[in-house]
Amino acid sequence: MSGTGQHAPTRHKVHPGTGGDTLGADRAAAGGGPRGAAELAGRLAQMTVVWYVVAVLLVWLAWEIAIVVGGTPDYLLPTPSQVASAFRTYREPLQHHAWFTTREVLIAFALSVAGGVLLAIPVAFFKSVERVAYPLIVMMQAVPKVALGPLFIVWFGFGLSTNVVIGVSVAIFPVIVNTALGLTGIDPDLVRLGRSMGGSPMRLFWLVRLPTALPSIFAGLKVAVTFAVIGAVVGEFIVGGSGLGYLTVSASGNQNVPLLFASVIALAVLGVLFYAAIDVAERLVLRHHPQSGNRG
Amino acid sequence: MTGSTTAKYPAAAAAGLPLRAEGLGKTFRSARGAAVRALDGIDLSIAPGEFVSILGPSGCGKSTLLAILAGLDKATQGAAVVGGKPVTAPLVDAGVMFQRDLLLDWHTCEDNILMQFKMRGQPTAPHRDRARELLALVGMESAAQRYPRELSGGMRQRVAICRALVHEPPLLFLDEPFGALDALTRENLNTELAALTAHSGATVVFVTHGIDEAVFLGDRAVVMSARPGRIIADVRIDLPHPRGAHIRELPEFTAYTARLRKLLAHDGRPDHREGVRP
Repeated sequence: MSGTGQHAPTRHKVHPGTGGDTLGADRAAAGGGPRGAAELAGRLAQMTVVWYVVAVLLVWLAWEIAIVVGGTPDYLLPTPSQVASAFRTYREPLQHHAWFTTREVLIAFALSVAGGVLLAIPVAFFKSVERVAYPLIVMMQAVPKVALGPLFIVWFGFGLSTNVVIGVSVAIFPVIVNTALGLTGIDPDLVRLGRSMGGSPMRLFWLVRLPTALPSIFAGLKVAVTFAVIGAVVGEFIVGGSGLGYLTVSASGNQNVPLLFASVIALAVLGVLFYAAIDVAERLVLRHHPQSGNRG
Repeated sequence: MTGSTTAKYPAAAAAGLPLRAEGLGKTFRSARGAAVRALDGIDLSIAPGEFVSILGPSGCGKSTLLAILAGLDKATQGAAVVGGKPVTAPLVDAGVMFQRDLLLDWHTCEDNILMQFKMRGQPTAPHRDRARELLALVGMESAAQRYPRELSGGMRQRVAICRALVHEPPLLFLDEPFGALDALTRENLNTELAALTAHSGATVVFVTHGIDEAVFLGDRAVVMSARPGRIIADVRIDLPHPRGAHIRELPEFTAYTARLRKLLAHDGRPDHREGVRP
């Protein structure tokens, strides 16, 4: 169905004031029409950040209660201050390994996006390719990627490239599936209209099909970036030597539980930052797309 | 068939093209593999600049007929002939509208209209003024830089009309363009479309199941039977031009709609026809 009568964006100034004020303003504006794109992204980001902080504080509270009330020994559950001091003590190795993991994730994600979108195009446009590709995709996804790790070590050696390959092997599937879904989900009348405008298949692809598929592609990218982190860490478990995944294994082996916690927290922060980056990119790219499906 | 030209409208830039269907038929396979006859022996001749409404019950193949004439679908029997040449590929000198406006959400109204040139790989800048002029004609000059999601269904369909007309096509194919709109908006758009098409000089094929708008807009109303679609009546609508809201008050208008309603009621019943719905 076509959009309902909505009105032109009205621009409110966002005051980066106190948290309470901002939350109130968000609530008040939530029922209104669409606002300026950048402003909308800013407001949502602000709101999301606030809730992330609340969630982290709740976990912290539960953590303290577990220690103080539950009396959990600190060789199992270190206190927050012990973890904080682990961050200070092991700042350099944490930075070094975090950067290594970041590089792996970035490369694996980039390769998954490029490869996934390229592979999705024949899947979307040729029925025969789709028929063969889907069983392959399902079978490939059914294989636990950890099991492929030793094989990848044989092929790519002990290093960054093996972790990247494991990352790609998990992250590429959501990109393929969602891109193909987006490319085939187009309204057939839109294609007819484009053809009546003299659009060549190439121009139809760039001007209509790909932009129409973008919301679906972004859904795939969000899953892919999370999967890329998982893949990289799994690789580090198996390959060893470098990366936050390796650091957790090594800290566990040394019974250094505060460092173990610090590396897990660092991994969580990395994962959230990657996800947030895609989220922001999505809001910028899709700022004019309707929030929910608009065509019936 | 041109009405009196008001200064508001630009002079007809392109003369309409004649259009013909010769023994046109379409058979397709249903999901169960049965042959379904959608169209059968359609003979139709449309003069240059004529506005022909095609009426028929749902599923009678009138949209398929329009698609074949526009080169967007292929006939299995017979042929469509436009300007003396058989139609084998999508007609690019045509303007097309569907029930859904099919505006691209990520472009402004103006850029949506200019898609007509972008798709052809032509520069859009020389046509910007023409696009704004058309928007002004449908009362939307202020919406040029707005995005589709900010507009109502009627406003979106107005933009789609501008997009169909901006390249001054000699042919217009309109497939139930106002089917999803409320009655009042539909009547307003009928009036605007009547003025725009009268002055464009284009040949128009207008598929609808609205009897009122078929009479209001058409020089002729062609009535089709339920599947397999055949032409069961071809009624000349002798109402004065230009067509304005006052037309609906004429006793002749009521007589035409009554006659068409009878024709449709007689054949539109889902009775003992052999056609199998897929």
